Amino acid sequence: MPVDYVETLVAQKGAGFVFDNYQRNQFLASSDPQAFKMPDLKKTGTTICGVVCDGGVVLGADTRATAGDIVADKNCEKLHKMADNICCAGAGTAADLEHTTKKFAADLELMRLTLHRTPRVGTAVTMLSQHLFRYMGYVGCALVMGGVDPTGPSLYMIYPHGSTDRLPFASMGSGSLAAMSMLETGYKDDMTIEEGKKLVSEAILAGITNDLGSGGQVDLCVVTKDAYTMHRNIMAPYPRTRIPKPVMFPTGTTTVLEEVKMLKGRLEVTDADVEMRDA
Amino acid sequence: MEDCLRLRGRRAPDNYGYSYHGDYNQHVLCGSAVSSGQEPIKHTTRPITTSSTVIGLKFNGGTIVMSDTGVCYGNMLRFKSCERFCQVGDRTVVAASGEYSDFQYLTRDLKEMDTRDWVQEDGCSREPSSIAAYLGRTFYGQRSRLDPYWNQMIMAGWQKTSNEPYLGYIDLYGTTFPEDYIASGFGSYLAIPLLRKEYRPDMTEDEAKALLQKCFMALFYRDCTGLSTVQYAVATSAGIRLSDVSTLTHKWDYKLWLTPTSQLPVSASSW
Amino acid sequence: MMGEWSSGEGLQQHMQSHGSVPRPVSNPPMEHRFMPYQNNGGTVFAVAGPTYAVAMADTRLSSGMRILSRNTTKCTQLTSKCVVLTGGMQAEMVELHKRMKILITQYEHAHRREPSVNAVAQLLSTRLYFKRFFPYYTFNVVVGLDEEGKGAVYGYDAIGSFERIPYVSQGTGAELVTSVLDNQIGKTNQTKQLEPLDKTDLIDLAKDVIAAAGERDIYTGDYAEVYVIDETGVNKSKVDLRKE
Repeated sequence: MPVDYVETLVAQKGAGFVFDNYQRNQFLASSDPQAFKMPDLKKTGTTICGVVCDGGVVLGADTRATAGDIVADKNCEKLHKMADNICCAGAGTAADLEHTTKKFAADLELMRLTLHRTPRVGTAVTMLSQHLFRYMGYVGCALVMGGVDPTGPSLYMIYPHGSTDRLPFASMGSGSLAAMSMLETGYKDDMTIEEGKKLVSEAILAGITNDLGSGGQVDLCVVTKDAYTMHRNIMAPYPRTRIPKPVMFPTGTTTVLEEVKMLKGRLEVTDADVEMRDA
Repeated sequence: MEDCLRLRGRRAPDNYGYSYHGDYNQHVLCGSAVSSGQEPIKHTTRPITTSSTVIGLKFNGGTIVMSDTGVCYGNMLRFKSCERFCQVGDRTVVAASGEYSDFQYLTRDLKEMDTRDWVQEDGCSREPSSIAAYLGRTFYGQRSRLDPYWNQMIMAGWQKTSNEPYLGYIDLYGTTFPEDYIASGFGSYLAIPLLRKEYRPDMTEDEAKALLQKCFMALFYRDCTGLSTVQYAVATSAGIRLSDVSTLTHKWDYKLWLTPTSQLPVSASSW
Repeated sequence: MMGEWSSGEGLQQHMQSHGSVPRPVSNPPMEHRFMPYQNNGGTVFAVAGPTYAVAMADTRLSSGMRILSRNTTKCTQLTSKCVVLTGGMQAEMVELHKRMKILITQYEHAHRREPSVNAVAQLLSTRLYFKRFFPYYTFNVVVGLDEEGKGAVYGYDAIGSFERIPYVSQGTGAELVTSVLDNQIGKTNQTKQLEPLDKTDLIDLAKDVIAAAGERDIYTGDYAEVYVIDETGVNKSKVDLRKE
């Protein structure tokens, strides 16, 4: 790639763009194995889903967080409270989910205090989708958001690039297909909250059982006109199969190379009077 | 037969009076691809005319395997009434998803094998597990030539020697295993969860059929290349039965789907 | 695990550096190149005792994020006192085990006796190296009783480098397993050594270890096959692991 113009511009320093980082960026963007690689991010290889019921919304999530092939957290929380009437289940990059949901939970609260009104689910979805669209998918949030507002119960899906969808039932994450098979075969119009809880549990259980990225326990959140109820670890389908015997190592098993004495004498306390001075 | 397989039905090089692929065989057999600058012949370097899910399961007294009847050309659902089953001998049926041309080639190959067996007139027929082993080696051989048969196959049959049903899986890498229930294609994501939840080894044939229909209904909803017309084959000690094509019932009028998002009041929607 | 084989690029580079190029340089790689390797996951390991050996393998067969089968073996008994266990790609494992069985049957016909574990171990190495430039994507463990009746464990890389060692682990959970085995059996970096484990405790430990690998490695789980090889022969049993 000809870069002569870069030199010209550099020669006319101050007259144009700064290309100091040009070569570095070329290198970073190249596929050279020596080049910088983004560190592996903690992802919530996830199953999340939600169902609209008669008078409420039920959302569910598994609790496994993965870092590559390894289970990073067996019991993490993927259901985020956005407001007293809105819950959000998140799949994708753990850090993005945590910060994005926190930010918008705060924004919704500020809005509630300003307007003296309960925030609507559609408002929260619009705010989030505009934020995500601005970041062109680089904020890795795939969300299922549900809640109850004066218009009734509603459920939305929000994709990392900012598109949204309003649906009677929805699933997201690596286990979304497993969950969807349960939702497609089990969904009915006007389910009771109890039926909804059962269906969502089954869908999350399908994700835990069949998707390697999902696992752990089932979390549920039920939002109705009157209450926001979180059911943490409502189902623990696969308990530990073996509890190992603890191994006791006698004191001194590890080689002591050098003993470090407690550091002393760094502070010396004297009795001498200290003269008061004006600051 | 091996030559026939390697050349996919072309005539052997000797027939042309010269080995027109040079040292192809030797290199391939040594495990390395051609290093003389010549590409080995490759047929399915990517699938073009493809079919989607096949699901099979064992029930009490037999095996059932079901598929839809669609075959796609790229993203277009081009052929809507293709049979995706191939009966081999009197107790085995092979059902395929993936590249349809590879399946048609394999069908011919298996039928040829069938004819050779028949000519023997010894009253012996191959076990489903033998046919699975044969196909498994064939698939592994082709993947080792970097020219795979781009299929996932499900073999269903009745094992005469042990008097029990047989169900086996093969994919383009040569992965092979027997199982109680198997789904290929998109069904490995959408149907397996349903099967794992509802499968019992002591199901009757009707229960098994109903479960498979439920799976194909979910697939029809969510698999872009899925069809609602399905066909199934049943293998029992009595032999193979291939069903007619039937159409599944489905539901699209959930209350919340009847109002499109665009027609909702602005306050209840997002943009 | 040998990361070098886990990606297509690694293999390509490797082949190029050894003069055997998989496709001509003039012809750039196709967009839809068929990658003949996949890792089907799973953990296998073995520990040698004074008069016995213990081997473990999980039975999960996975592809991507899916579980293809919960009950597919990674082990084949080759002689009356020798078992081979394989992690990596299942199709290659099936092929390799089939070939090993054929060769051992031929040996039995030629010599009218079983090959020793040592001979089986050498045979496997030779088989693997035979495919040096298009390797079997397999990570093997050979375990059995040697001619003196002592437990023998051999560990391999994908192309046939092998050695006899007290314990070895292979597969996707190998790192998790190795750390515990180093501590509990190798007793590395310990000034005060606990009593060596007896046979029952060792089998228990082995079960605990694979269960622990199943807790943290997403590709390990469902069931574990337990092989205890002693003077009575090869004894096989099964334990439950997590199904999630």
